[in-house]
Amino acid sequence: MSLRVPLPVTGTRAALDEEQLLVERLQAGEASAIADAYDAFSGPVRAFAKRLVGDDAAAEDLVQEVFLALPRAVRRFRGDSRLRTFVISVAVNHAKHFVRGAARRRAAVDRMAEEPLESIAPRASACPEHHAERRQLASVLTRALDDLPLDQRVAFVLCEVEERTAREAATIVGSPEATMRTRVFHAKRKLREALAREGVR
Amino acid sequence: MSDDLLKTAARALREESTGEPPIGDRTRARILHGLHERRRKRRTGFALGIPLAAVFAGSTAWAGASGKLGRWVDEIVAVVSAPEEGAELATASTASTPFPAKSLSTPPQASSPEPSEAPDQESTSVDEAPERVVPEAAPPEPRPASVPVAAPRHSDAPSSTSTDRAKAPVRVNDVTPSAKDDEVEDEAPPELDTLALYRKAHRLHFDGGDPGAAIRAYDKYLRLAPGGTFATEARYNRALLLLRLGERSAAIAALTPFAEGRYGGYRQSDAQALIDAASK
Repeated sequence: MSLRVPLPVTGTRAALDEEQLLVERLQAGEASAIADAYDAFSGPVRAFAKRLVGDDAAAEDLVQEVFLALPRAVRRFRGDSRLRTFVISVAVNHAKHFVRGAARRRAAVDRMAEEPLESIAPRASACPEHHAERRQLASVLTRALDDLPLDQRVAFVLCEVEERTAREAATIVGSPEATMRTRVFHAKRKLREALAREGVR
Repeated sequence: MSDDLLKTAARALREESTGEPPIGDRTRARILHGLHERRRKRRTGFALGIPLAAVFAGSTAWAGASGKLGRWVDEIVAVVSAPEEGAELATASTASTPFPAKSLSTPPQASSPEPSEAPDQESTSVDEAPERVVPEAAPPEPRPASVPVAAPRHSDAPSSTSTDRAKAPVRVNDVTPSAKDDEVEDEAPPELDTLALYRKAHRLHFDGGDPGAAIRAYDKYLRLAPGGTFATEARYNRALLLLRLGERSAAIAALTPFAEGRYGGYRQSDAQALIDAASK
């Protein structure tokens, strides 16, 4: 897969000023600034956490940890990216043990499962079934992600699931762009193999 | 497996994880509560820590201004650096308690006021209240007066000659300078050296085999540091040496304040037993 790297989208001047003001308030330790940051960024952070961790409860815990850590973390924010990107990077830095915990729980559930996962293939069907299939496919992919190293998992979620550019993903993770592409490449290769083993065709 | 299926799966994962869950507000409340608790703990730490630091700084400044800081440092150094003397003292059969224990102990108080001047010239008079009492039981010196009478401490005779010694009234009020000290130089050492004076006297007492020199050393210490850290021990040890030298009257006079509890009970029963034995 080739990753096109579009130019980063910049906000309007007013939005940037507002973001800069929020950064200053966060760095000054204002309690209300955290509330405002949560209101602004909890959605993307939660979505990323769910996609990365694959467990709603663990994802919610990760969201909580991110915003509790934000007052300290924001001190090293240098303004070389958007604040939203920075907050996602904080989530990446804190995700490790949440990912591991959720993966362990899923593995434990799988061991107790009575029936193997059935082969699923998305097909055009009535809505409820389509939703169920989509959920099942998402679940299968989440389990497959458990077998990836964390850096490849993060790279795949950022670039393929959230459809971020490699540059943005590299900024979030703090790695070079080429490294990010390499991780995505290897992640996709392993996921294809894993899904094939699970019977997804 | 085609790339399309992987993309489909990725899209499915994306769509399944979109949307604000019902517990989003709860998470927000937990975050704000957590931050509030963190700030409260930090404020409490400051509220406790700053007054403690201020008290410490103020005490240190006061001690420095009043001249006690050097003595406190000296005592701490003595505690830290004199384990070998503690070992000596532990094996010694007579009075004084080991260095380390003494230097930081606080006197059990002070029902005993400053011992008054006894009318008898031989009685012990001290210049200040007993500064510290470490009530320790130790066997009294076993054989007083087995040694011939030595020269009085305050006489001009440099050495203790038993035959020369009359039983002159012994003034143990230590403001009078002792005779020329062979072993202890007569000078006004700075505050930190008084501790060294005591150590020297103690060594002479327990290792030197020269009671007269030991008494002179104790006198020197008590003259220069009448309220010193080991002044009480010095007085008691001196009394024992007087007893050893056969100076019964002087010894009794020196032991009487201890027997009367003027040093807070320090060696009180021992002193009384020694006085009873010496009086027979």
